Amino acid sequence: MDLNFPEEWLMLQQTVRRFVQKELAPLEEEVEAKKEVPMDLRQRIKKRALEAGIYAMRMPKEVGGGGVDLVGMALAMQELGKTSMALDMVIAGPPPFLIEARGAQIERYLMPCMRGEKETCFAITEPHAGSDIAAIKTTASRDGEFFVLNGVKHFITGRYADFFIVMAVTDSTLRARGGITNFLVDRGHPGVKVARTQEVMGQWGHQPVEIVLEECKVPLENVLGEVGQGFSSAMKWLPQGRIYMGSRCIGTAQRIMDLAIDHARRRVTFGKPLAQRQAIQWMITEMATNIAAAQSMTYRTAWEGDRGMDIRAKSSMIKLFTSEMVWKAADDALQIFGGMGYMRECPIERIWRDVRVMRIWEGTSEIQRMLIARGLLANG
Amino acid sequence: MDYEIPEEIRLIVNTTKELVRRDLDPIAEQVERDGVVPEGIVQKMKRLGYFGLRVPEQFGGGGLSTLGYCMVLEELSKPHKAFWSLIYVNNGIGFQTIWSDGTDEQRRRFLPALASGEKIAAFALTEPEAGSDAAAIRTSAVKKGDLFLINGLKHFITNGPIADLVITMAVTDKTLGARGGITAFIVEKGTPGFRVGQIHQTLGDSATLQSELIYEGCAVPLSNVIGRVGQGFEVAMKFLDDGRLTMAACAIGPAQRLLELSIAYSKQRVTFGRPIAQRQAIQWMLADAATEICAAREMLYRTAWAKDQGRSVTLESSMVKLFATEMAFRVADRAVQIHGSMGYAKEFPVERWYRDLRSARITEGPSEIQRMIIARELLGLK
Repeated sequence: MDLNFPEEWLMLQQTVRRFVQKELAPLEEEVEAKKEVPMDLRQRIKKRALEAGIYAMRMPKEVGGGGVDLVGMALAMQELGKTSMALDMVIAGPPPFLIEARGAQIERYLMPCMRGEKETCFAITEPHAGSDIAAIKTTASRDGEFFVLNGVKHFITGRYADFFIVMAVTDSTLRARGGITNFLVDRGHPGVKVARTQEVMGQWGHQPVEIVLEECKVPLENVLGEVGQGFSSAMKWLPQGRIYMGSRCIGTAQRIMDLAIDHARRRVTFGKPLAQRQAIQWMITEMATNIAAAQSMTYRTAWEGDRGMDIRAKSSMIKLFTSEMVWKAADDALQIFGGMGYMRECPIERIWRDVRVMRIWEGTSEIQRMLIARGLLANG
Repeated sequence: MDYEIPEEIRLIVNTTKELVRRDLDPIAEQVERDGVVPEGIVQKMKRLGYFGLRVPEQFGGGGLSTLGYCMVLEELSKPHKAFWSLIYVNNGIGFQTIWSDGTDEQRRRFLPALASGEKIAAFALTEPEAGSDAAAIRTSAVKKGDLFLINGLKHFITNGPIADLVITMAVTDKTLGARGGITAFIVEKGTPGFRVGQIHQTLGDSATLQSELIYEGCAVPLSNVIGRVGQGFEVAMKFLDDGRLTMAACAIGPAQRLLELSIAYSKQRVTFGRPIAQRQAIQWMLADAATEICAAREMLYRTAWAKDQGRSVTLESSMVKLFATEMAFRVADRAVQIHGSMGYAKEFPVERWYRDLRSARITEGPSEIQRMIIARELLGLK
């Protein structure tokens, strides 16, 4: 037994930490004010990340990624979680399942993403389908050598995407069991319209968009993976995504705690720093304890995932625990900051809004509990 | 990086699971009713080496690591609290103080007897006016020739009525207090002036004996001082982290058991035509319990492992103790709720665990002390 981290990942963690401090954190306010990470900034950040060797870390080395396993990503994502997600999303590279690209797709879609030339995003969610992915209504009907796509996707983090990975129903009788397919759809392709940007509570730097597909005709060679296998291949990546998201939440909680500690030591009320009040100490203690608990379960699960073990239940536990705890930490920190925490000039105000969605995306807390309970009741 | 459990730990954990299944689970209710572990079981646990799991091998023990011991406690704590509390002091501060600060003669004399279970240890610190604030103890020890005369009252002492040797903390210099004024003594059963006082009736922990210990001119030879005179506080404080980790293990085991009982019951109990397991209200309690147990367990293993590597784990141990015991109590409360009136009835172990786990939030430093320690470390307060 040896719970020390591999030296390689500890070094990666240091690199990412420095990158966040030097390149990303200084841009937080600008991005927030502009409500986007503008193109010139994106290009600059990507270039620096490529130089630092931390662009598309999670992608395999064979395609030019970092080949960082889950344990390494658990460390790296904690560092990235300390800044605005809109910024670190820029260096994440494509979603892992773009690795399913074959033939001409590799040079046209995958490699440009790996070189930082193109951006993409997954377009799954619809007005009537979120965690219940199989309920999507977007259809893709076969027409000779083409598929014709019709439907509406929303909450899509694809403002700057050069192409979308669109999930659509190819066989409505089969749906999740062989009737859902993923398509590579270029932005600007006839029939694809980025209809509007959606105003959101937080995460302003990467506001989602709504995409409308109207008689959008894409060739057969734009099917990603196998026809009918879109649902199962998306499912395959979920546990991994939950570890990433969980690690991000832990990092954000650390940032929150550091801010809270700093404030509690400076702010004097009734002649004593807040830090000396047990009411304040108890909140900070809870943050620290939850962070330690979350890290412990995340590291073990990441290690198991790297060895091909089934981490579905544990990854749900991690997503549930970390997202709930970071939200609580943000709320307690706002309380510790008092009126200052409510001011736009205080980072806690933004973080408080930003973290609310952690309990929702990548599967809501309720979905995670459903999955966990299902596992318990099946085996118990 | 490697999470594989070492073979020697896996073996003893499996042995313990088997012991629990075959010998301990079947008599848990009897133990609760009678308030005592049957002698045959005590003897069996002695034969199997449970009283000396952690005592170094050279003194007849198993030399088990902190991690290994925590994993054993996790299993042993599932049937009834009595089983782990029986071996807890011998494997904890009882042997640790003598091992780390005792003389060679004390080690030879006491450690093999503790390891075999021939002698049972108790640790007497708490008094009516001193608990977590250990430096406030009033029991005094005054030197007289080759002897110390101890006077005072200890209470809430686990194993008090049955202990053969009691590690007793007493004030040897009032002016110095915790800074050199407290000494640790080995007080043996039968020493004139030493007797067991009132046996405490408690909310739970029915088969764990706790009592007052009364010292009235109790004469202890110099050779029974552990470490140097005046160093007793340091001697005892060294093992606080360890006690916190082991207590956490004893909370996680029952929490896991309660989750399993709750799963089984919820599948079987039908209301309004469906098993309650199909209701999200119930599923949510199960999912939250499983998640918190997983978090507590991983945090415990990670910290115990770090401690075995010789790292300082004061902050982490307090976090583990706080998280695990609060978690276990929440799980117990949910288990009562899931079982409904059956959870409140004596015929089911759930109500017993609900009561027994309540003390886990107090013993080995209450949650409030753990938070104080954590906050002090984080905020740099001294």
